[in-house]
Amino acid sequence: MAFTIPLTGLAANDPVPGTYVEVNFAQGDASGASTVYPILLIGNKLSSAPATVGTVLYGPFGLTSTPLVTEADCIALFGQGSELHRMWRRAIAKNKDTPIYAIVVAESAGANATLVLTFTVTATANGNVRLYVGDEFVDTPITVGDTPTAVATNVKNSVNGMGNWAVSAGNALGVLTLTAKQKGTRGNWLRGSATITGAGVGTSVDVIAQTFFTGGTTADSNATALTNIVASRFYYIVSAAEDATQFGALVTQVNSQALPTTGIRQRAFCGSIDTEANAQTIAVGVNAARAEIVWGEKLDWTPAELAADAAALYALGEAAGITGMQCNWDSLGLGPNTLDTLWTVPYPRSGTTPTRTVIKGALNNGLTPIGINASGKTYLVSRITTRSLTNSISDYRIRDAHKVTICDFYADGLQAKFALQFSGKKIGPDPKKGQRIQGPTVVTPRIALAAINKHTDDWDKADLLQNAATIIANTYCIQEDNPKTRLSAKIPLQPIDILHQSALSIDQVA
Amino acid sequence: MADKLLVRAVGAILVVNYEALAAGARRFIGRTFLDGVGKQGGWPASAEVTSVPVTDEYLKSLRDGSLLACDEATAKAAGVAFDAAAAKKAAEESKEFWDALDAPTKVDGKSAPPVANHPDSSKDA
Repeated sequence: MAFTIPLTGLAANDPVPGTYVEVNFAQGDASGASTVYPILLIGNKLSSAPATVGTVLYGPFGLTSTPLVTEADCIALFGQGSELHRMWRRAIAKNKDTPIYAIVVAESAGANATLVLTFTVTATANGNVRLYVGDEFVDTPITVGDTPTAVATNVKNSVNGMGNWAVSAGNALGVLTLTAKQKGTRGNWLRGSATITGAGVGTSVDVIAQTFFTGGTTADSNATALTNIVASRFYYIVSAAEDATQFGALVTQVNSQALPTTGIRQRAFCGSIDTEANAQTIAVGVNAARAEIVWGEKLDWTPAELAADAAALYALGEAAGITGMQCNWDSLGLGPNTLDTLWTVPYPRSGTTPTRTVIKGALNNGLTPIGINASGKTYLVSRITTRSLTNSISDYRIRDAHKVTICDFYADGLQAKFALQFSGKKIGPDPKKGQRIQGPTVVTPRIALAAINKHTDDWDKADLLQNAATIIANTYCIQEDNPKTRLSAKIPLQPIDILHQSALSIDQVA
Repeated sequence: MADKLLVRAVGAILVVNYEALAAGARRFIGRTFLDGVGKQGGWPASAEVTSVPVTDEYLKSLRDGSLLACDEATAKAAGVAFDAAAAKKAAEESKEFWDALDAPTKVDGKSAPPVANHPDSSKDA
C-alpha cells in the first residue's frame, strides 16, 4: 500500500536530514524531556539604561558580558522601575528555578501616561496621605499647618523614594502629577489613588478611587525583538504588550516556529486588566493553542506584571515534566499546595469582581480569568488557551492549557529519543517472515514503532495520557515510498483530562 | 425602568451573549455571524438594533463603552448619556455594510467588504 504521512512544510523532495515533529492540536475525536524550558520577558527598558535594544538577549548563562542573574543586574541593564525590571521582579519572586531571559523592545516615542491628584485645604490637624500605585503604597505624614503645596511636595518626595515603582512624581503647588517612567500606551494600565486619614485633618485629595493613568500615547513595536529571537527557544514567552498587533505578531511567530521544519515549540503569554469584552476580542482574534491571556478586569498589577507572574508559576509547576508536572490549575491560589501559596495577585482596589456569568463568558472565549471568592481572595479560575474556534465553529478541544504542555513535552522527549537511538542509522523495511533480520544499524518501521510505543507507555504510566492502549493501537509507522529515506509516524495522542467539575446531587429521602 | 436594553456593537469589541452561552451557543451582542468574513469567521455588527435583557453584565458593558445605547431608556438604565449621533452613525454604517453585502455583485460572503466595526476588519483590509 502506497500511502504517506505528510508533515507541514516537509516536502517529499526535502533532502535535509533530521527528525521532524509536528504537533497538531485538536485533532482527535474530541514525557518529561530533560530539556530546560526557559522564560523570556519582552518589554521596555528606561531610555537611560544601557541594555541594547532588540538585538541582545539577556539571561543567566553568560550570553552577554552583563548577565541577568540578580536584581542588581536587572536594574543595571534596564533601569530601576522599568517595565522589564518590574516584570523580572514578579517572575523571580515566584520562580527561582527556571532561567529567565529578557529582550528589550524600544520604548515608544509617544507620551508618558500620567495621573494628576490635587490636594486642597491647609491641614488643621496631623494626619497621613497613603498614595497607591498599583497594589503598592507609600505613606506620607501630614503635619498641622501643611499647605496643599507642602503636602504635595512631601508626597512627591515619598513617591520618588520608591525607586522600584513604575512612576515618578512632580508637583506644582498642590497638584501632584504621577508620570509613568515608560512612554507609550501601556502606561495607561497603571492605576493610582490616594487617601487621607486622621481626625480633623481638613486636607483633601480628589482621586480617592483607584484610577487608570491616561495620556500615554503611541504603541511601541516588538518587530525587531521578534526577529532576533526567531531562532531561539524560550518556552514561556511573556509579552508586555497585550494589544492585538504586538501580541498577535508574537503568536504568529510562535505558531510558525512550531512547524516541523523549524521545530521550535513555544508558548506566548500576555495579561489583560481591560474589560472582558475588550480582552476577549483580542483572545478570539489570536485564537491559538500556544497563546494564553490571563485576565482580571481592573486588577492593580499591569498586564505585563500579571503575565510575568503567571508564566513564572506555570513554568514552576510544569518544570517536573513527566515526573510530576502540574496539570490542573483550577482555583490556583485557594488550595494548600506550594503553588497555591505562591499566588499573590491582590484583591483589586476597584472592588471589581467578575460574576460567574462573566467568568463563563471568558472561559468560552479564550481568557484565563482571575476570580475573587467570597472572602475577597483572588484565584486563577482555570488556565486555558486562547484557542476556541476552528474556522468559524466553536472548538474547545485544546482549551485546557495542560494539553499543550503534555503534547509539547511528549514531542520533545520523543524527538530526543529518536535523535539518541536512530541518528546515523540506515533505514529498511520490516523483514517479512523468513527474511534475514538486519543488523542494529538498520532502523525499520517496527523498531521505530516500538520506541514510540515505549515512550507513550512511559507517559501513560506518569498519568499524563489517557486511553494509552488506543493510542498505541492506532499509532503507525512507515517507511515512505517517496522519499524512501524518510521514516514517518502518526501518533493519535490523548493527553489526560483534568477534573474541572464535580456534580453532586444530594437527595434528602428521609 | 427599562425592561429591555436596545444596543448596538461598538468597534471591534465582542460582548458575549450570555443567554446564548447558557444554551450552549456562541453569540456576540449586536453582531451577526457571517461565514467567510474575517479570519475567525466573522461577526460584523448586525443591521438591526439588538434587544437584550437588563442584566448587570450588559449594563456594565454599556457603562464601559463595550455596547452602544440606542435609546434614551437604555442609556438611562445604564447611567450613561444617550449619544444619539453615535447611535445614528452606527446604524448607518451597519446598513451600508449589509446593503453592500446584499448587492448582486457581492452576494458571496467571502468578498464582503471589510467594515470598521468588524473584529477582523484590519486583517481583511
